[in-house]
Amino acid sequence: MSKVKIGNPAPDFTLQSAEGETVSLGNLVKSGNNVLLVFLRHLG
Amino acid sequence: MAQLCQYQNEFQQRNTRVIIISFGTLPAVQQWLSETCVSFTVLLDRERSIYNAYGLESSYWRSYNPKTLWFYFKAWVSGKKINDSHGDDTSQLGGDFIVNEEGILTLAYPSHDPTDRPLADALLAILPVLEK
Repeated sequence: MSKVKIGNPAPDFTLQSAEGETVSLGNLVKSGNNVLLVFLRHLG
Repeated sequence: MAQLCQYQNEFQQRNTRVIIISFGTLPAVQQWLSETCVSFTVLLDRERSIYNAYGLESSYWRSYNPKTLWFYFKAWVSGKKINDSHGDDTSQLGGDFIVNEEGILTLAYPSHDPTDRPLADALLAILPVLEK
């Protein structure tokens, strides 16, 4: 069962990128973009 | 992922930033990036706290159901490279979500099993609909 619901605010997060940058969802959307989040399975 | 790479310019033209989230280790992610496309931002969520926040589940049954095994068998027969899991949890399922510029979730697609992911062209096609 998904914990998130369409039409509700997306859970915000702040994570490190592979390049070492700190990236938050809040900042990504503030720049006026839609954001497509692609959650991977394992890297195999 | 190859399809996402193929359409990365189209996502950019539609004002959509593609963010990849992985629970892999940094070296594994760096190796994966070198073998796929390097232009997307990849974020690391080793503890899978964001996976949990978005309701993404772990399931061995769904990860290794007959449909998935058949998918991997066909890929193996066709000579497609099957990468090592780097010791990561192979039961973790992925998913795709679209968040609009107001921070509102407009699409939620937690995958039922590893073969259940929306195609990149389908995601592109739905973007104008979600903006209405």
